[in-house]
Amino acid sequence: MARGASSVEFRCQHVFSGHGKAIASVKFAPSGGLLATGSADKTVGLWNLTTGARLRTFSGHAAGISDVAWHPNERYLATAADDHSLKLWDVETGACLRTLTGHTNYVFCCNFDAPGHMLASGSFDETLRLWDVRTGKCLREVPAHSDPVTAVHFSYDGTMLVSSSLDGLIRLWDTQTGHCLKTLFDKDSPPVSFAMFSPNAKYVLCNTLDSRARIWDYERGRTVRMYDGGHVNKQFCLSSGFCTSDLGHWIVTGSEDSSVYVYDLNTQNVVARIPGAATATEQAATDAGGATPMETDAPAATYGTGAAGSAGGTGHTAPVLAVNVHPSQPIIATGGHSPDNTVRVWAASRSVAAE
Amino acid sequence: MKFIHACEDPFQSVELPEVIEEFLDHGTALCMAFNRRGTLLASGTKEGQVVVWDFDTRGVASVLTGHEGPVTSVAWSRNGRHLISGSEDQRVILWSVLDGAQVARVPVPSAVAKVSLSPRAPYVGVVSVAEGPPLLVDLARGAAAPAAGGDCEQRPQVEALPTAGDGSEPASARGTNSGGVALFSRGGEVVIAAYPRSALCVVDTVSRRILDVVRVPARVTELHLNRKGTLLLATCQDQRVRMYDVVIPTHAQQQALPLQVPSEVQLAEALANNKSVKSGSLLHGPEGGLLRHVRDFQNAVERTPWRMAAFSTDSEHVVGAAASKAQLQLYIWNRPLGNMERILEGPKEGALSLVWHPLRSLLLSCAASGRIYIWAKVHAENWSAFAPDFKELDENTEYVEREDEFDWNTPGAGGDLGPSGGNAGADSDSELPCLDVLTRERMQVFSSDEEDNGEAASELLYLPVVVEPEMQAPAREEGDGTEAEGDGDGEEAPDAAAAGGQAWQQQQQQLQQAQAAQQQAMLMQLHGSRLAQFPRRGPGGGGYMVNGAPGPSGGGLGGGAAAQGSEAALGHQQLWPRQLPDAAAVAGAEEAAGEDWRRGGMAGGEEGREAADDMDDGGGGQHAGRKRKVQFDEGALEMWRGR
Repeated sequence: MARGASSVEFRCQHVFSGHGKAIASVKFAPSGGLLATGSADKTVGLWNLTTGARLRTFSGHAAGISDVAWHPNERYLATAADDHSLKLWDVETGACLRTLTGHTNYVFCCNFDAPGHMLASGSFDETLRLWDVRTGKCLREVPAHSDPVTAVHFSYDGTMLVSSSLDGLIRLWDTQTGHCLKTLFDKDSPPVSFAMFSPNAKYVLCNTLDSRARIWDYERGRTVRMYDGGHVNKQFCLSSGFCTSDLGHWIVTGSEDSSVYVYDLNTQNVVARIPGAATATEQAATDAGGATPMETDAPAATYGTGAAGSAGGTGHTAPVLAVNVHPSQPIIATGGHSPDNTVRVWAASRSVAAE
Repeated sequence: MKFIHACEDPFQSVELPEVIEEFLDHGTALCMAFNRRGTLLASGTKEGQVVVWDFDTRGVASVLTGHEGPVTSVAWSRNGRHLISGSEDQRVILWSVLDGAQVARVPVPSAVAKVSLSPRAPYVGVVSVAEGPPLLVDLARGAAAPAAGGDCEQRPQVEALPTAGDGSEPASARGTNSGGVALFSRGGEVVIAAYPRSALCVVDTVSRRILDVVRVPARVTELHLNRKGTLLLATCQDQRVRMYDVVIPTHAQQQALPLQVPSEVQLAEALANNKSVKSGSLLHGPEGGLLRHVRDFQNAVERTPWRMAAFSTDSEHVVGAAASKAQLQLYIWNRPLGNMERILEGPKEGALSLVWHPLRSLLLSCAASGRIYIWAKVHAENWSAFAPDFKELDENTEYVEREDEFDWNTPGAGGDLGPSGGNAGADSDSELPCLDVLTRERMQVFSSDEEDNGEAASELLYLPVVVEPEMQAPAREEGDGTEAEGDGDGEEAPDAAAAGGQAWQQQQQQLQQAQAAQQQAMLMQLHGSRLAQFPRRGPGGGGYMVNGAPGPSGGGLGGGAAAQGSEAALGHQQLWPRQLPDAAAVAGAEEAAGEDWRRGGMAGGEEGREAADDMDDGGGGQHAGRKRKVQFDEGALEMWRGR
């Protein structure tokens, strides 16, 4: 827990460029070998994390994609898009298997449950919907919030669903019955831009548009941790995630200052900051910047055609909207807003030259 | 608080079901069984299919075909990987649930009435047949070479249970034209068999020796064990349901203290000497024995005959299904007190089968029409779940507002704030307990009665999801009544996204609303206005409701109708201001016209704080980059103008 706040560095392993517009969502596949990226350019990219190759592009949505979710068996992908629909894709063939229609406004977020037979989606129509993955039917529509729903996430055992909304509320739902179990909100109830369960589903991690991330103990209805060590979150729905490894237990979150912030889960201190390209040159000697060039050059030369972070810039050049943590290793993927439009994969390691 | 209960112990929130919430319709169901956790439900149909339902989604997960006659009974293995089914085609099939393969397929001499499967491999089935005594069927034989002990090899694959009364009751079993009923005890150590001649027999599974014979005053037509295997319900022909304590030592206990197996002589003597005994164990007296009578359940006034009876999840209640063919009637008794607590009346069709969900207070009944009705409690909305400071009052009270009630920045407005809530950094690290975000707690419910910890891992709870490519059905009008039967998934609403246009959407909405109302009315009629107020799906949402509804217009609505349907159903329950359909249509039109993408333009340069204020202002100002919010406010204004 107290293990080296300054002894961790992140090296850029891959830069995936190819999306024409902002990256909305990056998701590691459950087994960790693939990365799916959803973008405002209406497509989803599928990347091989060992070779860095772009394996596939899923296109078919009529509008920008806001969220991507992996089916637990890795055979399917779900996408939520601004064309008011969700689509299920066959990862092997790239074919669109289902179009889930019913939402009356942009679909903003989606997630599968652990057995993979249900898909939850949240939308700007302020509702949550549960879908039967097998048939593509809507199982339930829940008038969940009074503002756009920004995130939905199942607990690991599928019994509960958490939703967050710009109305400042986080709600917990009984998956089986669709009943609201609890509502969490803070005194100032800033709009909640993201929420997810902890891996054991005892806590809820959320981002709010007051540049803070919080961990709620929902049973007691309290925030037990607050992370406001510098990340900026005032207008976008940034995502964050739990990153737990033998290097430490961290909260990783994107930021509108083009950086990625890594907090210590328990101490709430900033463990590392992956600076954006604009600031990278200034801080080249500090933080993670110093260690990046060697690792970055190879993939950048091969795949980084038109990478925004040109000429030694290793960070994002625009707000980091999408963050996702590798399911088993201390690796994070980040996606930048326009005009950056790149996806970057960072691996954490213990810093050789500890301060 | 209900929420806590739901987390800690599902049993504490067990409440009696009240109304039919939903029904499952795939083929003509005759029998059904839940797996141990209630995630999958198997039903046998008249058409010879075994249907495995994904109970979470209420969808068909797989259909097993192999029987040629009506499937009359199904049962699960303990780990949920195998399923046994018996049919009137005089066959018993052991299925591998995961791949749908037939592990064993055994012919029996008569139509099968009931099957029971030993909990673990090597699997043995107890098969109650229409004529003759129940049979023990060795199902491992078909799959692999008999690896079990030497004496097993000599045995035939299908063997009749030893009958108790061979000597004393000459006309037993074979003479009568109906057989007995038998099932395994929970651990599979013994078989409990009910013979036509009013006796319950306890037979050792391995040695096939009779351990005890218990007289019952009337003929037993059905047997049911509770979840822990400690209580037995015997549905009798004298309009009573008899409950017995099952005192059967487990294998481990037996090794420590071997059960006294009565010799043939003792047995014969007991049978011969106790002909006058009407009730109780013949070997151990009325108070002893392996099955001890506890109580009868009956309808003393109307003398209702029973089809079958079952225990609730926590064994605190007993539910009996009346044998009436004209009316679905379920009686629920309190198990310890014996008093009747509730009568559930369903559609005008008899009940064939009854199961209680192993974890939740859901009761399922197979009706003569072949539908499986799901009974649930009417949900009373817990409003305090929606807002932590919401208090529910039983009666009106005069409310005196606090001085600062509506002041801005009211302290404590957000309910209980944690030590670090709102003032992070104030607490030093030492005060914060280390957060454990990884350790998952085991479900308490099952660990208590779990003697086999390793087995939980091998349990099959869900069938893999396979998404078949969508049939590209020609775009047709929603709700045109041409929907395929059963769970056919050809009812995707046509891709509305591109179609956009406001007029089209409005037209659709009107159509859907009208149809939803119609469906609702129809279902209300069907269920005597007692349909659950919070249906799981909108009346038009799932195929089941729609398909099953009688009447000429029982056709399906597309998925898109679900929204309107559940809105109609919710009606007064709406708590939060909702976006008006018109606003949505406008949004659709605008979105189609202009390029817009939400994650990018979320709060478009304005303070996030205002998002919450907008709702309060109601009027709303022009916020650059907040297109949706403006649309909402326009809609709200229209709503007010209308009032």
